[in-house]
Amino acid sequence: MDKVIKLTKIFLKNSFSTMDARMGISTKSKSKIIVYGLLFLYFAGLIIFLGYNLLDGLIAIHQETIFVGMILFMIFGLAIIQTIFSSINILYFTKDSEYLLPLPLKPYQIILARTNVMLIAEYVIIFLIGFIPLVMYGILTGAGIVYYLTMILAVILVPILPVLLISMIVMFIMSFAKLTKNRNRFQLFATLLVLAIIIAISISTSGMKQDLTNEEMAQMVVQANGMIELVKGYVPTVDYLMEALTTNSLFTAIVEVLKTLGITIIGFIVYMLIAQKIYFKGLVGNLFGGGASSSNKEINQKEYRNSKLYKSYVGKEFKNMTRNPVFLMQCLIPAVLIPIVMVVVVYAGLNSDGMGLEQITQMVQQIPINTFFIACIILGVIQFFTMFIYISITAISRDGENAVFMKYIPVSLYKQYMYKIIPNIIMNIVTIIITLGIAKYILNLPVITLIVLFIVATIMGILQSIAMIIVDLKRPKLNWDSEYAVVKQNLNLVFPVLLSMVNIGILVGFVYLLKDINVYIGVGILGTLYMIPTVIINKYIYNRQDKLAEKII
Amino acid sequence: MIIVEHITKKFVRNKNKKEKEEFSANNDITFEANDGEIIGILGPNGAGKTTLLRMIAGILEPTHGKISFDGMNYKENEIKIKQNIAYLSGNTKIYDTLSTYELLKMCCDIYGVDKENSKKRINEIAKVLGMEQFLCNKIANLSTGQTQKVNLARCLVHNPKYYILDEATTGLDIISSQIILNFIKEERDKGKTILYSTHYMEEAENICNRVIMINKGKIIKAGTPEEIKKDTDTTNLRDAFFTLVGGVSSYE
Repeated sequence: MDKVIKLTKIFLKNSFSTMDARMGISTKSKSKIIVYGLLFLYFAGLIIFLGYNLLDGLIAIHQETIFVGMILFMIFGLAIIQTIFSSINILYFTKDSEYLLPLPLKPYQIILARTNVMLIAEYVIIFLIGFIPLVMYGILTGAGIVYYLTMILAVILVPILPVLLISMIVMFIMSFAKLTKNRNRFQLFATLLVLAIIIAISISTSGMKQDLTNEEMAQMVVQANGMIELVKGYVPTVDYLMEALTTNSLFTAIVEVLKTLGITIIGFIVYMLIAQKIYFKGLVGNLFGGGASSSNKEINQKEYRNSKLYKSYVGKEFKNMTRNPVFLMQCLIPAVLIPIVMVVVVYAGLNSDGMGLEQITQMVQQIPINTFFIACIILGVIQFFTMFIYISITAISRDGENAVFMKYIPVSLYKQYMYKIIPNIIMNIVTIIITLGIAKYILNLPVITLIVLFIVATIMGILQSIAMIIVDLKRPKLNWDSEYAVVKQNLNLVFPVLLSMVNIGILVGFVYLLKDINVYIGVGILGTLYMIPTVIINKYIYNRQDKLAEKII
Repeated sequence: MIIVEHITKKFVRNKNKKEKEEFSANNDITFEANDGEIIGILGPNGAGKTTLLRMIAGILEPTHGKISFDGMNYKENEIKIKQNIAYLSGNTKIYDTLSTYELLKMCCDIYGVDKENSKKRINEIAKVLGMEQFLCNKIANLSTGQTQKVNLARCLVHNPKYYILDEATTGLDIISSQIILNFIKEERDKGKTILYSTHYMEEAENICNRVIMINKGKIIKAGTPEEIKKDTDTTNLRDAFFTLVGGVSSYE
């Protein structure tokens, strides 16, 4: 067990502090603590604010116990989604695996340590979205010590099964030796498969309890804490813990926790047995299966045709992202997936209230649509969606040690910066088009409004793209062992979120100041105002192109 | 011709948690490299060879001193100089998601090599370096020797005039090393200017016309291998180096 703890520590340290160590920044440096502290306070504040309002409303209608169910479900769902994204990388695509295999370690020690890393990553997030709201529930409902003890156990236990389940699925897929021999193709296949799982989860959860009649639903709402039935019957462990957290009987709470513990232990034993059989087969296949065998493919005449420099360069950026599953998942896919998943989730939420798309469309069409207020909401939503596109913020870091290539080729650095942000702008446009398409479908906005919104959202996207590459140039993460370090464990990723938050704040300010203004004039003013910083920041990157590249060595 | 005049490069590093100190990676380096000449830059790890070559390749800016290529300097002719440089660093898998062909084609596009020439150059280089078998393979899947050949090949697609090669054969087997060394000699015979950094003294003795020995950022000796051996009264460059630095004990 000592070796497992040591390994876990090494994996965690390696994941989180590679950059800091290389830059000579102590992991306890004040600035880092302040940044993390502020971020934590920001998100904790946001969660308390949202949670309090929701819980307060539920208490008023005597349905507060559904809050516990929702939080436990959220922890479970989040653990599934997080693990889908992280498990392939943590289990298979970290470069340290090659060094790890020859060490005198037993297979279960490596598996346990890797699983610990996944779980610890879950707990960090779950502390915010699970622990804080559940503590708030305890305070507002005047719960006793038993509740708090049960709640701590619940927060610890709930994410374990989804992490083990998803990891097992990933190990199973990766154990097909034939597939893993073609590593790049398989990485893409695995990525698409996990995406399919996410979409399947979204769709299946959107159909929850749709078979309830209106009378049944009304009865649930009227009966005190009757709504908790809505979230029951899907995941046994969540059901048991819901019961344990909402019961007044100490005996019931203990029994339910023990049932959860029992299932988790069985799940863990099964996981360890299967993992020891299949994990290393997949790992070895993935590490050494690619080989350097010769390819039969022949280069045809067409492929020699001349490409313009920008095409070639931008093509290289896209190839680098599409052929690498980590970059594909974190940089390109969110642009398409996030708007769609968000719409599915919102639609499912409304649908569960008995509202179909037709009713929603009819309802929104009764309010004035072509207004500056609605335009700002759409721009705000686009900002929210595009903050998850990490192309520009990782444009330099993704190249890692290869980034120095930029400095010895006969192409000006400014041009290269621009080529590197083009994929970000393109993916921003994809998100904008999807969002505006949905807006057109639901709100039936005039085409001219959509065009104006497209132009302004694109300007905002260009500004974001240039600003983010500057951040990456100033704080590049070039020495990394796993691509995961660039797109997940990278503090720079806070900046697109911050910029989007600022933009949303500006939009709120505009709505407040100019609420009655004509939509075209209002959006026109916004567009013009955003042009100014875009031009300034472009001038800045042009004038300081050499200075900005100082950290690329 | 490459002229390096009084080049110094200073860096700032952490002395301890609170203090910083300045140190010179290169100190007052001066030499010339003529056309049709291989200049060997020799020295142990940390001697300042890579920093010097990075400055000559335009990656780092010298703190003091001047570098010129046939009379042109980076300040006025950066792109023109880079258009004629081949810079090879270490043994890295550059853009390993691309295939060998894709990388070479991308380099052709970057250096403005036209369709006919890019096809000719890629095929020519692939033949000379024995890369035909893995032209369509992803770089990530190549062996160390194959990767280094790809690295060298990507520097050659534009038929450069100046070669800046930093430890081009490190980690390679005897056959791969010899293929690369033969290629470098052929390029020298075509009149190219070649700077070749290595810590393999025997290798330098075999291919270099002149040698510059660097230790702790300073030139400790320059000349033809024969001159250096004669001046130090030794029979090979390895012994000559130890004579100049005062033996292994000076590093202990």
